[in-house]
Amino acid sequence: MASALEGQYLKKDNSNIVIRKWEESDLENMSKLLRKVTETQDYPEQCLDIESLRKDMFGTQVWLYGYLAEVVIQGEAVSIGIAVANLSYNLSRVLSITILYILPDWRNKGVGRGLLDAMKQFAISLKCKFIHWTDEYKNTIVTNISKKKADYTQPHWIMYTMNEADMEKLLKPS
Amino acid sequence: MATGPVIEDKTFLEFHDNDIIVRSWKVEDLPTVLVLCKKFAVTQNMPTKFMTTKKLAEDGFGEHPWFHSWLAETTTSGEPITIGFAMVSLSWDMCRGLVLEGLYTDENWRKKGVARKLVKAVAEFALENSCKYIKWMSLKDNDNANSFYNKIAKLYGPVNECYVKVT
Repeated sequence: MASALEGQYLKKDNSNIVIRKWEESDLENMSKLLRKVTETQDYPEQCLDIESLRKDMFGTQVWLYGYLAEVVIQGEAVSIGIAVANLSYNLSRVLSITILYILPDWRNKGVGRGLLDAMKQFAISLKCKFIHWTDEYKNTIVTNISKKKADYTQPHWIMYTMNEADMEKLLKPS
Repeated sequence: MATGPVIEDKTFLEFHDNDIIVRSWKVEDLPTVLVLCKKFAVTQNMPTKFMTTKKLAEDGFGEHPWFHSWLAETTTSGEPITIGFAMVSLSWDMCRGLVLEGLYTDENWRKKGVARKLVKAVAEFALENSCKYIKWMSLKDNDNANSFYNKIAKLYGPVNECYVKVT
């Protein structure tokens, strides 16, 4: 698994946009980018402090994998996009993308495509057959991406969630 | 890269109601579990021909497990019989969570609390590992499953599952 995640710089084109696997030194940047994502969508629970991210991204059990898109501006690398994925299992290996975010000024410049391509390569290295995401119909931007990029979609699903209170209620002795 | 597994599954989470026991899978359970997995796959319109115990062993019990799993068994006729399973993968959506990837009860054992016991095992695992949520998909027209889910969880809403083939 370690060798599958090596190889940092996947793309560097004329636009100076670089797509690479995140490292521990990126934690502060990642935290800032992820907080920007929370400004656009409702996330009732968030663990975005540096220590929680460090544990979840680089601890003995890894909960999320991801890539950053960055651009060099006046000699400094600036993060402009992030893609986050989990190892998922649909009776076979699947890489499930949970977050794909690009700063508004950097959209429509191929950054999303670059991040998705990085995810595809990562999925191949892990012997996944598919990458996957869920598209909630209310998010029309994502729905449009899904229409263009997905090989196939499976509508007719509904999603259920349990939070901590629901779990505790279920486990309470009756 | 992380080595593991370090999440410690409790080997036994015992619910003795009606002699139904829920516990984590072991490698030796795989031939029996594979039969249930294939039945589950048929209900989800998924192909079954590439499902093997070898793949389940590699993916569930290798150095980096892709899933954590439980089975429900009963000993009412003396020998333990496997009657259901639950399978989760680790998730992260601004905090730790689990995706319930599979929940299946053998058709002869439905409406006896088996699924509830399996979900309880998943919930206990989630709380032990500081997960803030469990989420899962259900087919809109699966009325039996959805009537159970509506009792224990919140309906988030309709979603589209999108796939890109990479191989």
